[in-house]
Amino acid sequence: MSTRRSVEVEVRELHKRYGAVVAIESLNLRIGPGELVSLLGPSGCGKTTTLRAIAGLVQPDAGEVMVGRRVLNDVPVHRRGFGLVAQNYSLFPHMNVIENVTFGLRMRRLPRAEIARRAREALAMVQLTQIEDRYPSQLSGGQQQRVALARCLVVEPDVLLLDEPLGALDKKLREAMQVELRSLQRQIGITTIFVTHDQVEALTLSDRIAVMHQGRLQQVGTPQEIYESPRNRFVADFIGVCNFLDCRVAGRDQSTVLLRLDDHALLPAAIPPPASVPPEGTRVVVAVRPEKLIIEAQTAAPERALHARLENLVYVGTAVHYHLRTKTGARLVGYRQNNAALPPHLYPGAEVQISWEPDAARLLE
Amino acid sequence: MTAWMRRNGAALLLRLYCGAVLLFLSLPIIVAVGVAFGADRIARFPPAGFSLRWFAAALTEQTFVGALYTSLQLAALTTLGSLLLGLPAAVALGRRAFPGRAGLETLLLSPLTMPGVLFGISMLFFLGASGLGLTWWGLLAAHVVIATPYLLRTTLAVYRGLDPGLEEAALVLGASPLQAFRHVTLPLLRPGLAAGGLFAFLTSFDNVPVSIFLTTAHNNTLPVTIMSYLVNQDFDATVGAISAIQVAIVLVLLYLLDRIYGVARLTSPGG
Amino acid sequence: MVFCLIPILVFLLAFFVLPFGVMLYQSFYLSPLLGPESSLPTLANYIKLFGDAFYLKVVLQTLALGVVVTLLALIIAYPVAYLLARTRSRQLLVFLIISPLVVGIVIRSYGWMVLLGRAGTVNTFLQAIGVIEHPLALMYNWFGVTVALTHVLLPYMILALASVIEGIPESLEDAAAVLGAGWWARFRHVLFPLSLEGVGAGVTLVFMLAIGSFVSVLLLGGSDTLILPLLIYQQVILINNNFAAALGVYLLVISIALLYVQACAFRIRGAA
Repeated sequence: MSTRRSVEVEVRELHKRYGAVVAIESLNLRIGPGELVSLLGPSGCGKTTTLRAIAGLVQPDAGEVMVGRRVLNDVPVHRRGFGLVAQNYSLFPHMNVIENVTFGLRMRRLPRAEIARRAREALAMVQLTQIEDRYPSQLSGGQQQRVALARCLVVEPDVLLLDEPLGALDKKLREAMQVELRSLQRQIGITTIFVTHDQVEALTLSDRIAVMHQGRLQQVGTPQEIYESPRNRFVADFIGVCNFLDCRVAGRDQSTVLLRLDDHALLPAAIPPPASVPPEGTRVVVAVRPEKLIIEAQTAAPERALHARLENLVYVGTAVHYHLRTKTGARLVGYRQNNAALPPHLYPGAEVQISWEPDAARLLE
Repeated sequence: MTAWMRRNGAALLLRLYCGAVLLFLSLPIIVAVGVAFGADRIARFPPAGFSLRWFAAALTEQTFVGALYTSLQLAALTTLGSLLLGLPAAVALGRRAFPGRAGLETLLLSPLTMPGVLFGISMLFFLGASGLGLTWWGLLAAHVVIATPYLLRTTLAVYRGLDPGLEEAALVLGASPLQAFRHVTLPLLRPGLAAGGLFAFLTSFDNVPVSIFLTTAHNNTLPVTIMSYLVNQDFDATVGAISAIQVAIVLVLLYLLDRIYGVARLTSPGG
Repeated sequence: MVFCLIPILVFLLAFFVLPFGVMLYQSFYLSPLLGPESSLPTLANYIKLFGDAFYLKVVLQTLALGVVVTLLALIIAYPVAYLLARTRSRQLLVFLIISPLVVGIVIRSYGWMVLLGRAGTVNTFLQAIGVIEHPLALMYNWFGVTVALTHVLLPYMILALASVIEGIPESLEDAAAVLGAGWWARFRHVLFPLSLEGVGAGVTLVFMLAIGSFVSVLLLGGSDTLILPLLIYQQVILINNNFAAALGVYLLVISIALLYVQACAFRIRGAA
């Protein structure tokens, strides 16, 4: 594949509604050149609609779709020069593999020799040879997926749009394809937008993740930012598992904010950007990931720990999950990696004290 | 009764019953064809003796041969007309609902269930009043009106069953809407067009209620010719022979229809 | 895109809607053979149509025939439709059901004439085995007409019902059977109620076709089996075009009403 200049994609103030249903609201997103950004969210959150709006298959009610500096709103679908792979691959059933792959090139009326050469390259790139004469119905799911990818890449699009392309594959194949897809994308350097509802997939593949819910963008950031610093309850809850605790702001201690939980415990949390702490006494919610909980029978400073009872422990091989309940009835889950003998003081029914590192907890909006 | 029979009695009874009904459905056709092989001049079933001379008689009788030729010609052109009118209409009615689409569809498909006799006499009056007279073209126009809905219906069914993602994929790959239609949609519509075309052909070929008012001594169709014999109580075995020929043509076409489209797919209300 | 509808709409306007308009127009005039007073529009045809008890009888006969044939078709077709819907490899079955439709009405009528005539197959057979002495009049009467018309419309009913029954999951019948329902109970409490909409659609369709058909009645009926389409045909043959037009309008109104009922039934069910 020839090296090309990677383009930037931008979506500004995108709006789309279907009757009374708001599909996309006030969406602003910038995807940098060569970046792979995932649109992540539950079904109905607007991620597919956004992708289709970028492709031109859906006309937004308001807002702009831009590539480079160019506004594409009035450009018809077939002139946008994008690549799209849908969940069901949409391979033309009446054409064989080579006809499918060369379709875009034939529509552009390129010389036959060039078409043949580029098709061969594309098929080699997705590691599919020897099946040129077969029809889509004769291919396995994985093969169909590669053909769809080859067909899309052979026309050298500026942007790659992928709508849950791995959804129809079984787990092992999906994981293998994730790796392949990512390395291919990096190799070509093509700007890519990837729609998925699978948060693990998003965390694995993306340079950045855009989390969407009910048509609105919740948070955009690197996988680490999204996981470690979720901005609101939805993001914290959607990605991985998270504990949520109601508490009150009790003051400030150097670079952390102090929170009062259960009317007695005083625990820290990282100061949320832009480093403004709500006034004392405000009710807030703090989010702590299970693997960040420190569970002990006794701590050095009991007033800086949450008192709880260990109700149940679940052994899952790589880790042990602890199900805890505080004095006020709040439920928590803690994870402990299974890299040492199981601590004897943690048994069902035991009274424990929970604490965490200051930057392990986040205040949510 | 053994336990098996008691358990499967109902199922067995059902199959026997259905066999009987199917026999009932096929009986007149078997009879009509069987008559042609008889030696007697009078149509009789089971036929007395065996002879093929009625086929020879039928194929040399100018009235019959002329009518057969007219019917075939008419049916072929009707099919072409249905295609030219029906394909664009099916694509236009398409997949996305627009206001008035349901009503429009009902109108376009209404000749399917409208009594043929009404349309026949209307066309007769119309051709008379407009001064066009009973021409071959008037007959063709009438046939196109009654045949096109069949093609429209099958094409619509196939079109609506197509994955819209295919056309979208074509567009994204750089095909203009026209190219997408030509290279992706049209080839996939072929089964519907073929089935509908064959239905249109058969509708025109078999038609009586409309044709009977619009045919003349010069343009006579085969079914109308046969009917005039029957009305005059002429049960000639020659009539049987010509019927047998028509049945043969039609069954071959039905077999082709089955191979291309799959007859089992035609289980939709509306016949 | 909508322009693609123009050819068919123009064609239908010219050769479908307009002819009906001409028929409507002609129904308001008297035959030109009657002299100069026939140049004025008049309701005379309709007065004759609604005034004379004879025509009322014809219409009632038409509707009655329609009802009888439809009911017969429904009862005969239902089990066949059930078998068709529940069978996997149904190519042959559908082929056999559709064949009569495509072979054509004239040939089927011809076959019935050979079967039902005084010297026809049925009579000869019954006489041969000694059941009857003199041939039965099976043709040129209501019996022959009913048999032939039911035969013509049966495939439509079978297909309409089959498509609906197909939509009823077999697991429902199985559940009923496990709960102790025999085949009649399963039919009465599960199958029939769930197929009611399809039954409605099939009945409407067959009824519409029944009241509109005249070839079978023409060939297998007698002087007293007069129905509306046949009457129309006769009037045209007698060159009473204007009166035939009025009769035609009458039949058209009935047909459009039924078409509307059919369209409503489909809208309730969803897209046709």
